[in-house]
Amino acid sequence: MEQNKEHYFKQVYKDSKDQIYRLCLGFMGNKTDADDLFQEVLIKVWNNLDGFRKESNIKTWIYRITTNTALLTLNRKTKLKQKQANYPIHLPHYDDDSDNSNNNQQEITKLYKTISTLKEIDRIIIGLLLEDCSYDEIATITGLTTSNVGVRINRIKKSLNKKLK
Amino acid sequence: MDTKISNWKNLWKKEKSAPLDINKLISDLNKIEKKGRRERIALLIALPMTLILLLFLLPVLSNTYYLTAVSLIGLGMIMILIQIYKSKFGIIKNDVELSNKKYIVNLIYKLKKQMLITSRYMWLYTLVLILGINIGYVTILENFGLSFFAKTIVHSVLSATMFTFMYLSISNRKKKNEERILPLIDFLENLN
Repeated sequence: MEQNKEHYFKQVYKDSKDQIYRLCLGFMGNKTDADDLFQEVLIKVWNNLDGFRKESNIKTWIYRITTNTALLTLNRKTKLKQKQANYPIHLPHYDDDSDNSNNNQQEITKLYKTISTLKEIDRIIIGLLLEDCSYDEIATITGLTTSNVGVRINRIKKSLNKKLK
Repeated sequence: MDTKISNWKNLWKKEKSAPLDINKLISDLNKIEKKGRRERIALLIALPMTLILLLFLLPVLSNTYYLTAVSLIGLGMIMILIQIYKSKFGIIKNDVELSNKKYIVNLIYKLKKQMLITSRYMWLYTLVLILGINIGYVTILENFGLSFFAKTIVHSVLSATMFTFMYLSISNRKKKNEERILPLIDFLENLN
């Protein structure tokens, strides 16, 4: 049973780690906080993995956990730090200087930083859109209607375009 | 505009998570899980043990006053425990899997429940506690052969001390809640 869980977790981690991390980075806007959130999400995925129904969509499930954790974490940074003291897990931190010299990296950083200035729900919506989620999937994850998602996406595109100019 | 989205997608997807030792991570997660499991088992053992202890104590508490006192305090404790459980777990078990909108609503409900424990249920518990202890003391004081006036003084001092202690504890908790929970509720309510 435990072996199964470990095997499944490894698979989930392998398939979704980059998507989870990108959503965390887009939400937090900096690598240190994104790493903290990434860690918190992995813990929640592990804790809830037993309850995951295999017939459900794992991608939607993971994104829900990620976005809900992000919403709560944003206002609980101090609490998260306390929690880290209890959890003896240390994720490797990013070297900010690595690859930072080229223009492409600067563009990437600018995109993530700009996304993190949007409203919380808008950050989630654009993050999910950039992860190739359909409007229906975004609606399922956020709890908004599909038409509302469409309206918001148009608004976010305009706002992001303006900010990135 | 779609070209823009496509460009953003390309940039967005270039960011990758740093490689990490997944086996070490699983080992740490297992340790945390085992610790949590041990705590839950301890709690599961503690509850029936308390009930067994109470069953053994009941013959000793054949006195109606003692029995009423213990029952009142016990009921008060159960009331608080139920409220704490409700505020922590709510009605939905896997709340992290809810849609963002439902998750926020559920979280606000749980936070408000936590506030209610301090503002309402702790006061109810204080009342029940003071009443229960005073009832228990009726029998204890009978053994000392004190006058009615002396007994009244003892009951009053006891009640006042307990009230002051509970008042200070509740005020302290209320202050902490206002600093921690109110801004969080405000933040969550303004998410749209």
